[in-house]
Amino acid sequence: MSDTIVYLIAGFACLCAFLVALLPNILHAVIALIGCLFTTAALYAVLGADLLAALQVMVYVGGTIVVIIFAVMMTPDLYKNKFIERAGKYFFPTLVCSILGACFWYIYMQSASILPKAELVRFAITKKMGLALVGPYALLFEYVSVVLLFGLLGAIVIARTGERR
Amino acid sequence: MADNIYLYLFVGLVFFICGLLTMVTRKNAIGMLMGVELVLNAAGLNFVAFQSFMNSANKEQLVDGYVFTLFIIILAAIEAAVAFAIVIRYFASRKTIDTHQGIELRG
Amino acid sequence: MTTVQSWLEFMPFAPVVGALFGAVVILLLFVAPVGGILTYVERKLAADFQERIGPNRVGPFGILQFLADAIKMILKEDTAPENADKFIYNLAPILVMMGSLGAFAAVPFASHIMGADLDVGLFYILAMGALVSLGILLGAWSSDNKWSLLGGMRAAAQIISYEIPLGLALLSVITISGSLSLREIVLDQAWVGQGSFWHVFHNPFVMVNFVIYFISALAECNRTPFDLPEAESELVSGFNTEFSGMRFGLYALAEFADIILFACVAAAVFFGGWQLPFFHPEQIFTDINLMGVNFAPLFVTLSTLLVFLGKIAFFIFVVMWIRWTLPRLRMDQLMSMCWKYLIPIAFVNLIGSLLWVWFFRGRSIVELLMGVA
Repeated sequence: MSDTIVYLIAGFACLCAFLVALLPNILHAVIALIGCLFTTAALYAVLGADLLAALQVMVYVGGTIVVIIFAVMMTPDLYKNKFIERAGKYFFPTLVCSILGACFWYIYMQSASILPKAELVRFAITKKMGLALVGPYALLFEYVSVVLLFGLLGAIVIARTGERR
Repeated sequence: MADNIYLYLFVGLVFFICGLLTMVTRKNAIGMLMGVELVLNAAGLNFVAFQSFMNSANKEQLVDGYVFTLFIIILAAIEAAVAFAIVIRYFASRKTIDTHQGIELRG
Repeated sequence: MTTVQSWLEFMPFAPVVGALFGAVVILLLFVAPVGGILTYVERKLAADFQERIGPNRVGPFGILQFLADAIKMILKEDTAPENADKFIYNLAPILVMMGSLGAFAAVPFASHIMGADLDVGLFYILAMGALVSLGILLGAWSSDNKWSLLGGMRAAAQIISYEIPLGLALLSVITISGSLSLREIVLDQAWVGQGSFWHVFHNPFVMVNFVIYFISALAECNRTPFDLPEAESELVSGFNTEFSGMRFGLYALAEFADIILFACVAAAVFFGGWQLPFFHPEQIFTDINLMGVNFAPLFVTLSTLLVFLGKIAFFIFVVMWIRWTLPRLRMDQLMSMCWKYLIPIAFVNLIGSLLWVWFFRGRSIVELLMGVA
């Protein structure tokens, strides 16, 4: 039974990914992206990374998607109507991407074939991840906090459209 | 087959290819940035898949792949914020987010 | 306790569709009636606070008023604005409902009633709260209405801003109990005769953090004094202006489900969950034999469930009390309160709580007074 669920989730993920690329209305594409992020979180949970699944939903869906939707709402295109766009040229990008995909799949087959087939064992990762973040990855953790601070300040400075009071 | 890593690698590959396709074919600036999010998700999925299956294969309990994915999630969020701030600035000077209109260095 | 097994197989004997159907039915049997009764309770409480009578026509003491409201809502015409984005207009209430209802899976209702004992229960509940903000934003945009859009953007900004002090307040308890699983946090507050008591009385910093949690939960649910996004006197009902009939019913039910959820989390995390200080049901109901079947576990579960429901009833009463007492905050006052006051206070109290735990080696006030080593 759990196998069926995983297949359904993976199929839905692939469908949503295609919709992100192909839907003309940008807001519908954002909804498809939400679907992709949710199914990614579900796959993380299936693989045993439950903390990452919850964080993915909290940070990505609750944060990044809200930023995207705010950006979409604050930038309505005055020359056209409601986010519909037609790039028009889909044939060559699709062809090139398919060839690239086939090459990647070949590389994956080579690298994944070294793994012996084993039953997926899941364990509680929260404690170990916490210890890793203050252990070997402490410097990276502090570095990412500083990057976050600079990113926030930079985004605020850039987004100000020059209104001086 | 859910015990096989190829399912997760395939989903990651589809995410990557579709993200690339989104970046290439959309002319809406926000659409392009959604492609970037998809590509980062694909990378994170690969990390988690490989870490889980290597743990199962070698009977260990390492979390390095998960920590990398955590950093990917965090950095993707902040990168989205900065990118969309730039898009808003672009919009403020040109009144459109059509990237095909951005062919002159002005504003 | 393996978590993913809980996620995927909490009804191991049922096929996939049966499991999902069962979850849906259980949630509807709990959340819909309780939400409906809460609307009646709210109107009666409002009447009491305002010295009038409230609904008393439909049924004895007006108890069936919520049924009348529900039937009216279902029978209303299903209209939609002309230029509304149909797909998103239909999807938004569903997203909000998903967020509110999905979080109930990780709440410990009684000693043996719990949807799924996730290792990351608290994070899961916070993640579902993020879904609610998304649904409100999408619904407001798809209504093709300036006032809805304003209300929706304000609501989304409010919800994502107040998630921060909410998380910080919960974090101080997480550092004390050492786990994100709600069941572990509840069990950590068991009165075992050695002074371990409810987390809210663990140290004064957690007490202040509980107040901050409560204020943030009010803001998360868009309740007065934070209900500017849906205020009737300001924005023509804000982000749910264009939603009528059952769609509006979904939004209102999701809001009540949110209130119940935050009351549940407050009771479980800060106030000991399904435990009372000197009440050990497993020692009281040891052996109740009726027709050869031992009913003692049933009594244990029922008594703990009643304790938990009593606690969330008290919190819901306080939430409604506050609603009909305080005026609402303006948007800039609301945001400045979050960013300039609540977040610094929550941080200071988090650090204070951590220092307490480090200095006194995790002992609470009660343990210190009792002289536990």
